[in-house]
This record gives sequence, C-alpha cells and structure tokens, in this order.
Amino acid sequence: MRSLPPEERIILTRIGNEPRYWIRRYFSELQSAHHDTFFDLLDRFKALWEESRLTRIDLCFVLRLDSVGSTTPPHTITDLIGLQREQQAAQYRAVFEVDLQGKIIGSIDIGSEIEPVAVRQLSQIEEAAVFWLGPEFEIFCKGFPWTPKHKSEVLREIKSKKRRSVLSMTDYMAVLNTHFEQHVRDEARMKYWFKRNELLQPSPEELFQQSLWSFIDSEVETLEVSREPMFKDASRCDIKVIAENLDLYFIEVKWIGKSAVRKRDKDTVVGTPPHKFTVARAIDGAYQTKLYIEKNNSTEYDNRIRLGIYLVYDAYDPPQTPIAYGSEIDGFVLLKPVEFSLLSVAPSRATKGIAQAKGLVRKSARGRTHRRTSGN
Amino acid sequence: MVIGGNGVGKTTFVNAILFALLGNAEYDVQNPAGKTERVPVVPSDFFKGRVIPEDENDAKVTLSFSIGRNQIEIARALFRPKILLLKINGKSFSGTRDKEELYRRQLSKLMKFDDFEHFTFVAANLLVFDEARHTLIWDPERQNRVIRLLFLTEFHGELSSLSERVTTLDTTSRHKSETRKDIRRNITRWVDSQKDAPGLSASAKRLAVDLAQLEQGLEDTETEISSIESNIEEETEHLQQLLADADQLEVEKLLGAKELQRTEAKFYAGIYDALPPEFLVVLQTLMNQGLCQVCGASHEKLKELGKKLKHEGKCLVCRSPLNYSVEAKPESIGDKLAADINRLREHLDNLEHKQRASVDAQAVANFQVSSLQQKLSKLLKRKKSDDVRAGELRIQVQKLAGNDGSEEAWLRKQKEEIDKLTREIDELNKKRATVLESLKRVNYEFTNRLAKVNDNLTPLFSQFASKFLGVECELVVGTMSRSRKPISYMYPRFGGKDRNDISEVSESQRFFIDQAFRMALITLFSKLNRGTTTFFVVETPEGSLDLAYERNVAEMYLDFAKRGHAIIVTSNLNSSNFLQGLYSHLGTARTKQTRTLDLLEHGRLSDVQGSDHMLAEFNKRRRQLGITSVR
Amino acid sequence: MDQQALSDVLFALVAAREHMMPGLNRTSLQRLLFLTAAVYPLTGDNWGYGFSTARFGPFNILVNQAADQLVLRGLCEFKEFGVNTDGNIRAVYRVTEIGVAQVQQITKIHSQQRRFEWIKTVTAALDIYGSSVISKIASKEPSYAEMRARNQVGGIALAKSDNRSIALIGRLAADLKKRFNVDTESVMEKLLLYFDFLSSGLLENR
Repeated sequence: MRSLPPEERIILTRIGNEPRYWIRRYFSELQSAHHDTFFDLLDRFKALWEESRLTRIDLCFVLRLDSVGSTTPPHTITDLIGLQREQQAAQYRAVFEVDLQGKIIGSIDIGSEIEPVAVRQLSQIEEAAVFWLGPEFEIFCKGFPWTPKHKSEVLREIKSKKRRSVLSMTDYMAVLNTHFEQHVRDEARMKYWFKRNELLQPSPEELFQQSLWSFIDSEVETLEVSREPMFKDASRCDIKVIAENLDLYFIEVKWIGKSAVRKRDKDTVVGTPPHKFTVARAIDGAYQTKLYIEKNNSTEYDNRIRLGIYLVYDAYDPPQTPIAYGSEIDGFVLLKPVEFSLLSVAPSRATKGIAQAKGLVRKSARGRTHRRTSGN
Repeated sequence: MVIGGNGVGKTTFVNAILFALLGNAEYDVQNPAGKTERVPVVPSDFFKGRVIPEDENDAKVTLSFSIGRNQIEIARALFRPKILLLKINGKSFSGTRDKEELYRRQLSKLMKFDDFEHFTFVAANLLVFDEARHTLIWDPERQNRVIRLLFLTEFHGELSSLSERVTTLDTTSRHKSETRKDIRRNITRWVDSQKDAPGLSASAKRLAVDLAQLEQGLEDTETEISSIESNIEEETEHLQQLLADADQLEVEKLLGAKELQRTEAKFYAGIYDALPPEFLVVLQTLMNQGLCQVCGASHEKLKELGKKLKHEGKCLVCRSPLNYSVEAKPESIGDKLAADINRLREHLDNLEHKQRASVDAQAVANFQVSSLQQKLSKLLKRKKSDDVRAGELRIQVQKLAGNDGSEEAWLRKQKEEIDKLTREIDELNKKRATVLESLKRVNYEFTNRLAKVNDNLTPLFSQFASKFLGVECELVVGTMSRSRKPISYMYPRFGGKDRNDISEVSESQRFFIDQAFRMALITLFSKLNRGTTTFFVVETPEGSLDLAYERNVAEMYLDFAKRGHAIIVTSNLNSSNFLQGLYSHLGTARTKQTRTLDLLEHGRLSDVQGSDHMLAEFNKRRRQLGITSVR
Repeated sequence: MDQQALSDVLFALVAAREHMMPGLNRTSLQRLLFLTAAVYPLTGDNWGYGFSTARFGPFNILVNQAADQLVLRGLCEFKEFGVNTDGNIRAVYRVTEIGVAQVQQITKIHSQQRRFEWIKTVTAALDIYGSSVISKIASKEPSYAEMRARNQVGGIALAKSDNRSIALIGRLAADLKKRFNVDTESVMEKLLLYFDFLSSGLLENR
C-alpha cells in the first residue's frame, strides 16, 4: 500500500487525534462495535461542554462500557441544568457515571472538589475514559490525557449529528450574519486589526473575501462557489455563488476605513501613511456594481442573477455606516447593500437591548423600552 | 427380496442367476497398467466350497427368462462347463453339440447385440451392483462402453478400433524403443571392452570412456525426448479441452445473460411500466365526458379523440405507440420472476467463476506447453550434436584400437540399426498422432451425441437421484484423457457443483447416485426400445446407508420397479428403515410373501444364526415386515 | 439498466425516510447515489452505471429523470414543488407507501437486496454528518475532485480497478492502523473514516 501524501497525512493525523479514534486506542471493545452510538456520545459531550463552560460549573463523566445500571435523575447527559444542580448539591465533588447511550447510571463522590489532576487519577485507577467539561474539554483514558495538536480545530471537527445544518443561500442575510458573528466579529477566526479599532491589516479585502468564500463553501448549500470568477464580458466579481436551485448570487466585498500598508519588499508592514478608503469610494463601487449587474443579466447569459450583494465592512470609529447610496441604488432591486461594523465593542454595549431582542420586554409606542437589563 | 444373514448364500444366489445367464463368459477390460485382460463375470471356481462336495456332481442351476416374447430356459451344471438344458420358445436343443455357442448366438440375436461379449459386459457392469461396490458413473471407460453398447452403437466399432490402433501403435513404438535401447547397451558394452583392451593408449581409453558416456547419454536423451513429447501432447490436449470448455462457457453465459435480460424486463415491467393512474384518469374522462382534465377544455369531439387514441394505442401526450392493455401482474408472478432472476444470476456468477478458473488454467497450461517445448528443442539440439560427436568418437576409437575392419562393420551396422529404429519410431509416432486425430474427431461427434442422450437421461436420473438426495441433480457430459486418449462420459452435478470425482460425494451418497444412474440408463433404454423391461440386481444396499437416507432409497427402488423392471435386492434380515420402507409398499401379506426369498428358511445357518434366541429374533423381524414364517 | 437507476432512486428515498431525512431533491439524489456508487466496490462489486462530471457535480441523466418517473407511477411523491423564475422545476421527493411495497418486491432479487442494503448503509453513515453535508462531501470525492481540478469532463472512473475512493480508504485505514493502532474493519468504520476525511475542514483550504 502506497503511504499517504503529506496533505492527506495532515488530515489523517487530525482525524486520528479526534477523541473517537484516540479513545478507541485504549478500549479495544470500541474498535468495531458501537461506532454510531459512541460517535453520538462524543458529539453530545462536546455540545454539553460548549453550553456548560459558560456557567463555569465543571462537570465530569466516567464512561462505563459494560454496565447496565439503574438510572437516577437526571437521566441523560443532555439535561445540563439538572446535572449542574446536582453538581452544586454535591458540592462540586460528583463524577457522573455514564453509559454509551449517554444515560447517567450513577455518580461517584471523589471526596474533594473535582479538578483535572484528580479525575485523571480516577481514569487511571478505574481504567476508564473520563471526560472533563471545565474551561477546557479534556479527556483521560486510563490515566493518559488527550493532548492533540491543534486541539481547538480538532474540537471543531467533531461532527454534530443533525445539528450541523447547512445554511441556504435563499436566506442570504442569515448567511452573512452567521459568517460575521462566527468568523469576523471580534476577530473570531482571523486577525484583521493591525491596530485595534483603528487600522486594518494590509490588503484586508483579501482576508474578508477568503473568509467569506470558505464559509459559504463549507456551511452553505450550494452548487458552486467561486472566487473572482470571470463573467462573460470578461469582468470579475469577488464571489459568485450558484445556489441549489440554480439561482445566481454574487457578492462584492468592500471595506471602508484605514489599513496598514505592506511595503514593496513584502516583509515590512507600516501603519503610516495608511491606505484609506472613504464612504465616497464605497458609493462609487456600488454604482459600478449596479452597472455590472445590468450588463451581465441580459438574456443571452444562461444564469440569471438573483441578487448582487454589496458587502461593506466598516472599520471607522465611530462607524460611518449605514451609507446613503442614493435612490438609484436603493431602488435597484437586484443589488442589496449589507454593512457590518468591525469595531470591537465593550460587553455593556453589546448587551444593550438584549431584553427586547429576546422578547422579554414590551416595546413602547414610541419605540423605547420600559426596562433595561444591565451589563454584568 | 432376497433376505438372509451373513453367509447364508445371498451372493451365491445372485451369482447362480448370473452363471445361468452367462456361464463362464468373460469380457475385456484394461487393467491400470493399460494392458487388456479377460475378466469372467462369475469366476470358474466360484461355487467351490459353497456346495457340499458330494452334491457337486448334481449341482445345477435352471433359469427361465424371456426376451420380448421369446421364452428361454437354460440349465447349467455348476461344476462343469456344460449346458444341461436349453429350450427356446419351447424348442429343446438337446441334440446340438455346441449348445453354448448356439445359446450365445441366439441370445445376441434376440437382444440385437453384435456380440455376446457385449451383452456380458452390460450385464456385469450395468445390471448388477454387487458387493464389490464398483461404480459405473465414476468409471469413465466402463461407462463409455456401456453407453456405446446401449445407445450409440454406431460409434462402438469405430471408437474401439481407433482406440485399439492407438494402443497398438503405442506398444509397437515402445517395443522398438526397447530394442534401440538394447543396441545402444551393446555398443556401450563393446566400447567398455575396448577400453580394457591391452595396448590401448591412455588417450584412446579416455576417448572410449567418453564414447560410452555419450552413448548412454544419447539413450537417456531419447527417453527424455519421448517423455516430453508425450507431456506436450497431453498438455496441448488439456489446453484444447480448456479452450473448448471456455467456448462452451461463453455460449452458456450469453444464453444465460439473454434469459436474465428477458426475465428482468418482465419483472420490472410489472413494477415500472404500469401507466400512471393520472394518465388513465385523463384518458377516461376524455373518452366518457369529452373533458380534458389537463387544460379544462370540454367538447363532444374530444370524446372521439380519446376513443381514437385508445383504439390506436397512442400516448395522450406524444402520440407514440403505447400498450393500454398492460395490466398489473399479481405478486405471485413477480415472486416467481424474482426467484428466476436469482437463479439466473447465481448461474451466471457460477459461470464467471468458472471462466476465471479456466483462464487461470489456460495460462498455466500455456506456460507448461511453452516451457516443455523449450526443453524439447534444447534436448533435440543436444541430441543432434551428441550424435555427430558420437560418430566422430567411434571412428577415432576404432582407429586407435587398430581394429581390422570387421568390428568397424559391426559398429556401423549397429549404428544403422539405431537409425532405422529411430526412423520407425518416428513413423509410428506420426501414425499414432494421425490415428489419435481421427479418434478425437470421432469422439467429438460421439460427445455431441452423448449430450443428446444426456438430454433424455438427465430428467430420469434426476427423478431417481433426487428421491435419494432430496435436491435436484443432473448429469453433465465431460471429456477426459486416459492413456493419452480422449474419453467422454457423464458425471453428476448437484448443489451447484460438478461431482466428476467420486471423492466429491459422501460415502453413503456415492453408491446410490450410481444406482440412480444405472436405473436411469435402464429406463431410457427401455423407453427407446418399445418398453423392454429388464432386471437389476443390488446386493445388500443397506450396508452403506446413513439412517437418514434409508427410506429415500426404498422409494427410489420402488419407483424403478413400478416401471416394470425386475429388481432383485438382497438384504440381511434386520430392523432397518430401509426394509421397513420397502416392505410397506410391497402390497398384501401374500404378495410380500411371494416376493420374498427368505434364505434363512432355506440356507445353511451358522450355529449362532440357528440359536433359539436368534430364531425368535428373526421371527420378530419377519412380523415387523409383514412376512410371517412359513415354518 | 434503466430500471436500475429507478430502483436506486427508490431505494435512496426509502433509506432517507428510514433516517428521517427530509425529502431529497434531484441534486441531493445525484450526490447521494454518486457517493454510494463511489464506495460500492467495498462490497466487491461494481455499481453498473456511471456518473460524469457536470457543471455542478457528478451527474447521471437516468438518475436525474428517475424521481419524476417514479412520481408519475405513484411510487414517490412531491414533498415540495415549485417552478423557478428561470423555468427550472424545483422539487423535493419522498417515497409513498406503494413505493415502499414495491421495494419489498424488488428486493426479493438478491442482488437488489444487497444494493438496497448498501444504499441504506451509506445513508446511515452520511446521516451521522447530517444529510445536508452530502453535497459537500460528494464534491470532494477524489475521482471527481481530481477531474474538476484538471478541468476534465467525462465519465468518472469508479470501477474497482481505478476507483480513487477505494484506494483512499485503503490508504487511510492502513495509516490509521500504523500510526494510531486503530482498526478499521467493518464497512461502516471504513465509510466513517472516509467521510471524516472528505468532510474535514482542512481539505477546503487546500
């Protein structure tokens, strides 16, 4: 058998480091049986951890492969609140015993508040797999800790059965919002500030374009996503998306504000003088895009353009968006301008209006809220 | 039913019948060494010790039988080769000097055999399954001969004579080789004597030794060459057989694939070809109400359109021809088709498997042939150069030995003799190849005809054998090579597997499959000859039976007997299911009685058999079978 | 072999129903059956009909037409139906009770039973990842991806002898054993490993 080429090797390493393969090394009984169940259990642990870490009530589970015990409430690992209450009641000393189906079949009082070192020992003594859901997601098998390289990526790779739904391009706002929330805002998955809230990295359009393209490619149900594709008239747009129903969307990615500059030698980046893109240029771009849609939407082309999206990232503080493009753009139904401010905001500002957003307070006739929740 | 115990004379009884029928008749068989020998059906000394000495003079056997409407009665003395009485259709032949000759001639004529030996062979090898348990179905030579004699008589003479000629040519060539070997040995001996001759120089001695070695080497090479030649011939034969088989497989596959396609088409037609219900609704409404359900148009004329389309069998939409009468098939038909498809697929898989095996075997055979040929050409080259060298050495040795010339003449003569023999052997081999070619050609025709015989034989065989095996089985025609001669025969196939070797069936299966085969042959013969009936003798069949099969075998015999043939079964009086099963079908107590020869009543019992305990036990068993003691 | 595509689509719709997947549209049927076909040599057999590279993924015309034919025969039905602005029909299909009954009938043929089981197995494996990632995985199938990368058009080689998916599974399983001592014996395990690999985010950034 030919050995793996390097890129396949990298992926396999990451797969091999996934808990479901890593744990199986220590428990041969998991080798060929229970794959589906076990897979599901891990997925649920990971989901539980993502929720539970927010409250900072640590949970710990020991996996019993052979037991069929009576179940005591809370019955399953999906009951986060029940588990956390029980943990509080047990003065943070409980380790839950769980079976492959995710049923809680008992709990162990380890005599002191649970912490990783103790549970690792537990896994060694009991020769079991122990899952630690604290600030970090940790697994111990027979005393060995799970320490993969690129842990956060591996964790992200754990598939969520049914939960991982792909977005539809028809709901393009959900696509753009989700991308912004999960990948952009507060530099969630990329570093775009050269100087926070002031100066963007050099060539930010490339960053934003790449990020959105790969997001759509992996999270949105499409037939085709291409970067900088060429249209029939030899012009190009930033991203072209052909949705499942053959609708065509294209997206122009713009930014306004200031960015650092990469010098000609390519190695040094300087902040002064910065590149500067103004609102006026954004407006120019919108008109240009409109023209472009009109040219490419004539009947001789096979796919009709469902919508052009003019996406603007605003790096100004205070933000310069929304931009007034004028009636010609506003009245052009095939072009939708969408804007996001890149500013990182303080938590107090971030939660402003949350009660209303969650529907917990009624809106007054004048559009003001009666009550406000305060930030923490 | 001939019932007895050990040693009370069951075999003697059977042999007495055969002896009456055939006397001391013998037939030819080839022994394993390839030599023909004569075998008697009943050995001349068979009855010795089976009759008390003072009775020997009077001991005789009388047999009455009929051939068609002809009645024959014959009586023979058991201890003298003498026919005591011969009556044919009431006419006694007391005055005839050579009654045996007359009897044989008459019998052959009545049974339309060219030769009494043919009948002898068939009787001994087909009609009697004796304690030797010799199977016919896995003995290609005997089987081939029986079939030739019964069904394909027109081939018998030609196949036999060609086969004999090949054997004769083979033997002659072998003899000549032996002679050549002797001559070479003589030369070697002479050279040996020369090298010890006084006054011979060391170099001359060395030459003599060289020559002796060379002569011996030449002989070895010769032997090796002929053995390789025959190997090549065998391998080539094998390869040709494989290729023929492969062709046959291809044909079978093609036919199978076609049938599969047809069956699948039928099966899927029941599933996917039904007209959409909506379509029929639209048509119906169009015809009856003049309303088009698709576009809402309504007009009297539309009724006509609907009727016309239906009448003409055209599609409502595209006007292509359409079969409106296709009806949904009941599920049971689908089930049957599905079963057929499964069977056909399995068949095709099987064929493919065989094809792959065949390709592999071809590759092996091809490789064998080419490597043998390489070896052969090397040997031929060596032989040639050794011949030349030997000639040179002979001259030199003579010169050095200073011989007077007479020896030289002798040596030359030997050499000439060798060359002559070699030419003759080559000639014989060539002739043999030609005759073999003819034999193959005739055998090819024979095989085709055999396949036709098999078409009729297989259903009969299956009927008998499946009674016993409980599964469908068939006969397959195959060709094998014996003493480098092709021989075609039939062998059974069941459970999706060819059983061309006796080891491919279990001990208890093999004898009954063989009996089923014999019964099938007899039945077919009877069918082809205006319902002629005959007899079949089986000795103690229960001995080799699994308990589970006992009743099945009884049924097989009954089936055969119902066709009007006489079946003589000998058995020990035991409590087997076999006897029970057989007797439960033998009719009333009276018929059972008349159909049974209870040797325990007539034979010489041993002390144990004659004990009160055993006699009581025998009576109990008789009661179980429904044959009460006459005693 | 026309019926085979019909049967396969019917099988896929039954399998989807068993996994409580929402109905399948034409594209997802293409993708699902393509993936199923790509890994079919794991069973030792070849799929029969092929797929070719089309603009938006692997494509087979018979599969494309099958679902509508099944609807007309009452074996499946439209779960959703609409006509796009450009005239293309947009439909989601689900199997009917008649269709389920016919599958029972068809699978009385052993080879069809094996095929049905296989489609169910692959669907079950894909279901772990969520039905909506099927098309993402299909577009990463190595034979297809390679052809796309080289801008080749035509039939996608899926036969046992030159099937890249099967080769990949072999490599992955061997390496997983060598480096992680994890056995990948069952077909399901092999499928999961393969789908893990194809759905890995890393591939997208290649």
